[in-house]
Amino acid sequence: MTAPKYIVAQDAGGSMTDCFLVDTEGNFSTGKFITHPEEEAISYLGSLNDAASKWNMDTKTVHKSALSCTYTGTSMINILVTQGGSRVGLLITRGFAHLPIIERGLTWIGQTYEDILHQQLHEHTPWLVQPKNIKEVTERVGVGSYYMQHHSLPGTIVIPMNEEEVVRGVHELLDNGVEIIACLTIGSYANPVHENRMADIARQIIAERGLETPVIASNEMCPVPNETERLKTLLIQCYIQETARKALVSVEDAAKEEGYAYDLMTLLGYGAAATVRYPKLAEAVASGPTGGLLGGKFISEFLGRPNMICWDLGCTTCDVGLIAGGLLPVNKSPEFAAHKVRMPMIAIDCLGAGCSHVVKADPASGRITIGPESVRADLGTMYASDEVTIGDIDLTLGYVNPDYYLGGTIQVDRERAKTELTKRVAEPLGQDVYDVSLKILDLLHDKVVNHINGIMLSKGLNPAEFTLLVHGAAGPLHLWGVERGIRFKEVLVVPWSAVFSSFGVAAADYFHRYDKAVTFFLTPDMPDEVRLMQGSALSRTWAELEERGLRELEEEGFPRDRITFRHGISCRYVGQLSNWEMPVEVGRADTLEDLDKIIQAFETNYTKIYPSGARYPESGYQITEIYVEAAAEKPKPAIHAYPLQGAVPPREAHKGRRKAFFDGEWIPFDLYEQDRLEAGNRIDGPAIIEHTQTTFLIPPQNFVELDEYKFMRYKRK
Amino acid sequence: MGICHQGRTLKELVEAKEKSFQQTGYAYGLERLGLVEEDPAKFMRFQMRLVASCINARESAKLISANPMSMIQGELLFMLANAEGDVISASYGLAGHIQCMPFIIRKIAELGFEEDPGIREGDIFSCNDPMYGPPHNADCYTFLPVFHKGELVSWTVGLNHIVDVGGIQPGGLGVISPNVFTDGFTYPPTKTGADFKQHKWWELHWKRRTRTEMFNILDDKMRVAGVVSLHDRIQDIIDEFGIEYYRQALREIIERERRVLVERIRGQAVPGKYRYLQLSAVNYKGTLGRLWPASNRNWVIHKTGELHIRADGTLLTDLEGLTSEADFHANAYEPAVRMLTSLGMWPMFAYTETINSSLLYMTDWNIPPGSMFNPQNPFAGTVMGLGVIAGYIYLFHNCLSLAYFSRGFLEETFPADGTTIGYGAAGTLEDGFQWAGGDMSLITCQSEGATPFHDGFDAAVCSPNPASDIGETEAVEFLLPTQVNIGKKLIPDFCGHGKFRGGLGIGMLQLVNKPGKSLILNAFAATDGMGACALGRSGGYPGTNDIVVFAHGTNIREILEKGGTYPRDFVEMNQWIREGRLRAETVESFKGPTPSIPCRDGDLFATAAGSRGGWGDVLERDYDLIEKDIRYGWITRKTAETVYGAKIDEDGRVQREASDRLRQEMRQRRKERSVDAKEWWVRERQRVLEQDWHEDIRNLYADCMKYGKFREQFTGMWQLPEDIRIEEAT
Repeated sequence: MTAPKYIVAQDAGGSMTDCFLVDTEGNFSTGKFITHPEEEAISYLGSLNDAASKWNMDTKTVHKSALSCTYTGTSMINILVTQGGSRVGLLITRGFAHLPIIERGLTWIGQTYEDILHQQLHEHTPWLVQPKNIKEVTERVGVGSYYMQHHSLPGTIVIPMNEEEVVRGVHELLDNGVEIIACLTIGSYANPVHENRMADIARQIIAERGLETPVIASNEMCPVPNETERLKTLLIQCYIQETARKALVSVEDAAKEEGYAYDLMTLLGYGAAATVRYPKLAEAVASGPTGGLLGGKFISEFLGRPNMICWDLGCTTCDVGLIAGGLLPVNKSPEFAAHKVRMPMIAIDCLGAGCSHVVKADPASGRITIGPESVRADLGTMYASDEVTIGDIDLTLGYVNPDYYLGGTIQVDRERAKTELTKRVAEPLGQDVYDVSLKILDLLHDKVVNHINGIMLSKGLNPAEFTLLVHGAAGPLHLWGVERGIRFKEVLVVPWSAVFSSFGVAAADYFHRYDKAVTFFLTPDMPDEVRLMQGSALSRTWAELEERGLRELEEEGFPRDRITFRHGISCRYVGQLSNWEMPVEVGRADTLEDLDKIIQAFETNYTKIYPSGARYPESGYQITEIYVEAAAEKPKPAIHAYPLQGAVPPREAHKGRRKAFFDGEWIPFDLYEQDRLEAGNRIDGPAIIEHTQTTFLIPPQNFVELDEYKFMRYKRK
Repeated sequence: MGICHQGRTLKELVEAKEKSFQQTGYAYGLERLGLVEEDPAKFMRFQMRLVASCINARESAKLISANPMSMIQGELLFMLANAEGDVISASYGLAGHIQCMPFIIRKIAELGFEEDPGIREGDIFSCNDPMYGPPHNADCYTFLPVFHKGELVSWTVGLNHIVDVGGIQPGGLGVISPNVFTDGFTYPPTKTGADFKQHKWWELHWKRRTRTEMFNILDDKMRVAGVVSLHDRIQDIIDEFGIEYYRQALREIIERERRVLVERIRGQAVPGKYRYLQLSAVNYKGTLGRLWPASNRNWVIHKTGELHIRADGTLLTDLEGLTSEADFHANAYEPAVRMLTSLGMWPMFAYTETINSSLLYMTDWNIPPGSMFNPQNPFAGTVMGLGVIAGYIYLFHNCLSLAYFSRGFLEETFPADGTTIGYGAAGTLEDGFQWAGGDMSLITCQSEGATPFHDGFDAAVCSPNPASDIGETEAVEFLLPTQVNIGKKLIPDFCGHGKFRGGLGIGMLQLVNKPGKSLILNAFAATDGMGACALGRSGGYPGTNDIVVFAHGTNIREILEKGGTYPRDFVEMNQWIREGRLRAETVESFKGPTPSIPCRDGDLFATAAGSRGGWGDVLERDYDLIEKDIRYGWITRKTAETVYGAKIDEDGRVQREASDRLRQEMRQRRKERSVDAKEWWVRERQRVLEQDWHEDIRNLYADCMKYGKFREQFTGMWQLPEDIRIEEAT
């Protein structure tokens, strides 16, 4: 028998670092450790040690037999929050030096609508580049127009570049001691000639001066339109990348010192794993919430459920993500820490309604609000906060066991929670504390329901064809409320739902994604030869991106013949400003049939979302962007199957009974310990399944069945 | 038998609504909010469900659009109204439009639409005619009735600002139009579709009556997609909550939210009467010649207002003294006034997640008949009345700031003013292809005014849209083939100075690139070149005005070919021309809207949105802040010395002792320059008696003296004979 091999995955949050440790048989262990943002290697080893010690092993043993270690850190966010990034220099088209300060005027990103209207609260993000380190260069590249066949094509040079200004600017920046130089010219996505020349001159001068200052041009990061988004992405890359890379390499060093033999991997915002040497490491900046959805994708493939909604409810998170037809939708201009950037990120919506969110009532108007403030790890009046929270309600209603909070590691005060809830919410509204508590939960659940319905509506999908996968520390506790509002195809809770995000980190695929802006028009009056000409140009562009993927993955140690590709387009009717992204079967468009297939893919997608009256084929089609995903193999966790036992749970799993207030009355709920349940068991509501990290509430009208993987399937009686 | 609840007609329903409010002071006569009291959480859940439905309708439908104003700049709104027309909830977007919908429904009720053309399930109605509710014809409304078992229970509404309205000037915001016949495509309430689809003939109107058919057709499709999907969601909500609950809850929302708003005013403001005045210019003289003789003149618009903050928290805005209606583009109707001015109310007290018509129930207006916002001529031009109304947005910013400041709510003070500028463009390219478009970048994002405790932020807010967004040059240029931006930046010194200064004004400079056979540009939505710039507070300087400069026939192409560079804003451009660094055959400057100006290749076109006022005396500005401004290049050394009394050394440091002395001298000079108020009054009174004014000012007084209140104040101030007459200049 060969010795077991391990996969290590960690998800470091602002307060805790979660670890998911799994062997090749599918046996898993989980660990937690307080995050050390200043020295992440400590929390990395601490969390791994917590998981390994449950198997009576040490971290060295794990590292020596580890197939892969994947770590998503907090360093990038910290660099932004603490403003501890690199000193950036910027070369930019003359007349646009203030672009990083004007920031498109987006001073309200991430605010609630009430605060957006209350403009006194608007503020810019801190500068990522100081004004003295911005140097302008005379040049202009045109972007073309809708009327380009009557005027100029995209990328036409309107004003030639003044290279002397570049030379002068670079010297001044280096004299100012910048640590990295960013280059951006307006229109570079259409024609990068000026921007690339700018970068070349800078690199040459840096070499001449014997320095190693890196230079990045915006078209290397994201060759797509909209200069402010492109600039923001470029600046974030320059500002955080090298500092963040150091932090990740220090974690890798710690693993390697203990005998880990491969590169440490991290997670990018679009859900791919990549080594910490990946050039566009800034794409990892928005990877925080993606872990859960990647876990969902893995489960979706494992169970053969291509349509899945993943809902994560924790202390401060309430995230909803969607997998439709086996695909993770990508948001190309996500908002992150009040910045709007242009980098692909898995589309996840954060609703700002977790268990630590504050509940308030205004007696004058009878208005009740949940959030947006959160007391985070202070939990509520039951623990270390003076604010009433959703968590206080869960405790007051008897859903949560005060003596088994986080497995009994912290003590919470149910009496205080009830008293404060009464004083601050129930009495001012003239309501019974239990009644009003239930209704506030309805509000919370409805928020999630509204949101899921909204996502479905905007994509033309039907929830009855979707599996709901619930995770997060509080997901299973509030599942019942959401499930009452929407009829799903099936509902699923996995046994490790509290550390599901770190599981997702382990499950990530290894791939790189390359986006490129293009301008292909297919209009009804266009002759076939022109269509074919555009088709072959489309094929060529795909091939270029494939080549780039091959090159980069090869450098990362993957043989060419093991690399596979996925292709897609963004398309719209000519004239529209938005476009819709969709995968295409084959990344080539060499025949009229290929082109028709591409257009058909767009039409099918569009009419799923909008009524047929919103179609506008008379105006023709425009392909605005294409992408290639270049993928390599990576070890993935296995899931262990257990022999099915009877429907009746073992006696030792039953922990007794507790009364809880549900549907307007106090009823006794059977209590079970999750880890003692067996595959095949059926738990009938009213019941509560407890675990050291989560609580799962099953109403009288529902029951749960554990399948062969001990996945808990939540059903209506 | 009517189509509304209990067989009432729409007209009866609307009348009952208005009567019950007049009689009780509560919306719908609701002294008690039964549903709220009984179960506030369920009520909240219901309300948030409506809001989510509106937001979802907008967020998915907006993607259909081709129009950057909808997409990037947010002038797009979906709303749910009750049968009476009160808006109950709205999506994100230009929220002021909730003020207009009740007027539209009242109008169609009065017109008997129920009988003819009939209001049936699936019917689509369209309207952009300001006489019937929409603020101006660029804002196109599409609305759909929602029925439950044959009873009209709601309307779903979508609207957006379209790119071109087909008026005599391209774009949607023309500043020359003597009457409705030159405003462009204006349609009163019209049934344009059935079975949830627009009729085919409707598309032909966009093709034949406007310049930008593709944009306008896609926008129409977008509005229909949104109202239909919202209609379906509302049906689901009615099924879930029941029709009785739905009907009653919609009314309670209005009354409940009215109470929230009234409480905010009561809690933060000192009650009283607060006065406000702006002046702006409309210049037609010589433009229209003999074709419209009544329009062959200029006007100085007297935008006066008095905000009564009543002790009960309700507001009355009295516009007596406003300029009379005239044969120009700037007339408007009450819904437009309410719509646009609510933009001043959102930040000051009406911010809420759940926008609705409750504002109508706590804000009263006195708009005298015959004034430009209550025209009696049915053919009054209204294409850009909003440009003048915009001044009144800031009545609320400024009067309420004062009322809050007086009570110590410093962080709520938010003095602002309209210093924005956009432009329209239309041309014929070399091959004969005709195109039109516009750019609102400097309308959708401005810098803030100073507050009592910090400088105004740069490029941080927007008056017409709470979610400021200056847009992307690469997106805007894609719509405007001939416009190449060579500058989009903050302009040093271009702000209201003070102990705390306003944020810097933002400017753009464009190179006109291969316009082909013809190109005209016209600027709009500006502050009209006069005292509309934000006043300073507590001794701060006023903000800067917006500005438009054309440099025609320049040698810029030649300079660039020789490897030279280009200016980046109007200040640099003017300076270069003065210094001979740049040659121009002619230079035209406008402080405010422009007529249509023909442009050629190599012309330079500069626009700049001004900034708001400063707060406090410039001579009290902290030296550290001045050093910071010098370091970042936000003010020049000259301004530091001449305005702030701060001498700057070679390293950019303030020489403190020398500066203290300079400030002392400046204070002394102020004293020497000042005049005794009595003497000043005597001198000015003499001018008044002699009517020693420019003809435009004389005309302004002649007009305003028709209004009793103005007359009384004016004769009182100058102690004039009661029978004084001011004749119009001829």
